[in-house]
Amino acid sequence: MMLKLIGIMLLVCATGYAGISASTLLKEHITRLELTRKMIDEITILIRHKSLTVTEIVDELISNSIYTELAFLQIVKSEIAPGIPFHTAWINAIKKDSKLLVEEKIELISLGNSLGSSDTEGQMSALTIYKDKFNLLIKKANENYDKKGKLYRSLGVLSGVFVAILLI
Amino acid sequence: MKMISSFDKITDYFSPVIKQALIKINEKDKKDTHEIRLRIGRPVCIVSFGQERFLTTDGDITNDSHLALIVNQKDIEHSFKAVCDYSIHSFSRELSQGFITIMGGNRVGIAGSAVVKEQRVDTVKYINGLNFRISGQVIGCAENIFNKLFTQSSIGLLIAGSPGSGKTTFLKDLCRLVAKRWRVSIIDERGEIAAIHRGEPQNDIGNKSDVFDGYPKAEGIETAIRVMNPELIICDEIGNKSDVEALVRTVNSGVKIIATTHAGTLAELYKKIYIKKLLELGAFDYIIILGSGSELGMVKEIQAIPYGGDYNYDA
Repeated sequence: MMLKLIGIMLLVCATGYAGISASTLLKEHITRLELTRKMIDEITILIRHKSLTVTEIVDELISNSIYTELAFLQIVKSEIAPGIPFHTAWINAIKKDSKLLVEEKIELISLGNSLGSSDTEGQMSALTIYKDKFNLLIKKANENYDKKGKLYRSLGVLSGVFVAILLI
Repeated sequence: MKMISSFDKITDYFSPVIKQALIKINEKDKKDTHEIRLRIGRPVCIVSFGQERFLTTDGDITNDSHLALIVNQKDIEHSFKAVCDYSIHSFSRELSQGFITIMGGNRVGIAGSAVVKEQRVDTVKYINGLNFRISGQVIGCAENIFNKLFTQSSIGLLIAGSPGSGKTTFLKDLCRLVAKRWRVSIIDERGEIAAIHRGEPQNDIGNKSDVFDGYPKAEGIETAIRVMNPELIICDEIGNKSDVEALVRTVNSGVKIIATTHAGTLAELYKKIYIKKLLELGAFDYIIILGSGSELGMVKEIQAIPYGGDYNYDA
């Protein structure tokens, strides 16, 4: 009986944890999108005021610890090599970052293709567009979190309790 | 003399097909190559000692254009983007001037359609041709002149020569030598003298030199005098009014100048009104004329300039 009780408690904990994890993933997605928007702001400043090249921009972003969460930046850095076009390195890095969702990947690849392809004025306009796109993704992700975050947590615990009742 | 060519450093700027052909060129031809020219729809040209020949896919250099590797629009696009470090926004000033200096101090000339704003070339679109000028450092090429003219104190020196006569190569070596003895400010508007990459000079420019990289000459000269207290100012290719006005102020502040200018002969040089003004002010103590073609790398003439510019106009 004791063993059965312990088993049931572990089951409730496991399903509860699964629910919380699913909810945390949604929250992390929002945090990453917000960080990406911040990165776009920083790129805007680096282009407008420092006129940095795309490679220098990546170096500058990597040197700032707040962007450690954006794993693809480190991958871009490692992909950059003599004779490899920057855009190829960028696309490869985005594809390799397993944390990114498809919608993020699409926008980030498109952003990478625009980076450096026009004069400063053109870059400013393009970056504004991408910032707007990420604002939209953040809004959608927040709505999604409000809708599903609580649900996942409750479902996790409740499904554990339900199975426990069945077992008892 | 020791020749350091940067041929191998530039192959990464070409599309894979052209890069492979360039890599296959034999070492002697690589060393002799001064320029690589790409023109849409035409053969890849290799220029050595003023002679323009064609590159084949096997890396041979031929006079027969039918055997040559033909440049297409994608090759030009690939190279153009690479030259701009995939960052057109960082090179607007250079694009408006028609050239970009890349790694190793190599200069890439850009031909295309001008975009004119307020009666000035703002940028270039539809790029149709690129000319890679391979920079080299010839260690020791200025040693004779240095030993002859810079025996006791620093002097003002004007290095003249026709295009492709090696003025910048000579200047780089002279810079290396004078900056061992005197405090030098290098105004490296085109980035060809020091070849700065991310703040670090890639050429040997001596221990006592400060580099003002990418500064317009006039601004660079004034800043250098104000903040670095140089004994010598070194700059490349002077000739326009604002350069000369800044150099006049340099002369008045007692700083010596080493500079280069386009002129194949002394007579040609004296016809340049701005240079004439500098000579009259005593900005230079000596003029040297460099040879070109078969006389490439040789000093053809040295002329001392008496103060007040009482020089020989008919030389």
